[in-house]
Amino acid sequence: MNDDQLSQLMKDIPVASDEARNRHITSTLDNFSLTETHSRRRTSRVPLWSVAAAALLVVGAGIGVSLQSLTDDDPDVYANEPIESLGGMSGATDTDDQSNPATVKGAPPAIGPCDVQYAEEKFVTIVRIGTERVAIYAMSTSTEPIVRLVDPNTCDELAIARR
Amino acid sequence: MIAHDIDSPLVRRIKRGDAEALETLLRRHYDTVRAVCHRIVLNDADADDATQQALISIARSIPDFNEKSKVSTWVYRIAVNAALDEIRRTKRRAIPIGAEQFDNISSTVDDINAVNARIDIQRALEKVPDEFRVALVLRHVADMEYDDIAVVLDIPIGTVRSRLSRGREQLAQAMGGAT
Repeated sequence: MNDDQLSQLMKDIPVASDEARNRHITSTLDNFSLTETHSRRRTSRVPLWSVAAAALLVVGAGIGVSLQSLTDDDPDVYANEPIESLGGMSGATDTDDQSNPATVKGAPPAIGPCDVQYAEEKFVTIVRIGTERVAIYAMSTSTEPIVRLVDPNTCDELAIARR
Repeated sequence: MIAHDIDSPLVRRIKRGDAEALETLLRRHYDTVRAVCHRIVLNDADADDATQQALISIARSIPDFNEKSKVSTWVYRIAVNAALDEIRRTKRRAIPIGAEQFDNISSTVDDINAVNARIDIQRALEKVPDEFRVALVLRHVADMEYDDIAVVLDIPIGTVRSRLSRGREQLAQAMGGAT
């Protein structure tokens, strides 16, 4: 098999339906406002912990989630906590962490679990829970909303909340 | 800025807040983004999720895209990242594609041969490590040149060549020496 034949075979994938294509694109456009993005970058910072708390409360209340899949490192902090309670665990907001190139500058990140994670999920904020710094991400895939807690230093996933 | 990049005017319009330009860009690259995602995650459901995330990431990042690379190179880099992240997120490797997915389109000998070829390449790709498979996908699905693949993967061009070579070798072995 030569390169052309291999390319032909590699491209032989069932195409997405028009419905799926339109859903993906419309969803992207609906959930993304260019105007808001520009203004968000120019406005002064709001207290991000309040944004995170609000986001988690809304998501938590709306989908009735509970935390799952905890790492062995922090079982005492997060084990079986309802996601709603995280909204109250505000603390010092480490806004400096927003300087992560993938979240602020928008440049395509290097390939790697942490960079990818920062780039592909909707960054909410980094908060301090007790002595632990935790990054909170919220995202919605085509099938379900997800809130994820991540160790910003190691990129380890600490907990994930799903529908 | 890359000269003669047909997407550059769109990017400039998007940066001025033109939503129609964003839709045009997303539709222009949708099929390839999905194909790249599909060949990396190797199943329909995860490919759909990775595609959705890639589109969102493209939309979010465009205001800061510096246009030092081709727009398509940047777009496919995001697609690769979305697909790899989907693999990491789901904590599982590809779900082997079943022949039953193609049963409804198999009616002639040619159709059946085409379906069998699809299944063979899918199953063979599952056996190729991610780093080699991604290089193969960028080369043979996105039709990228070696230097663009090097930019996407942030590796030297020599490493691109070696990954493609080893990827083809492993694919050939997985397919029974057909490549």
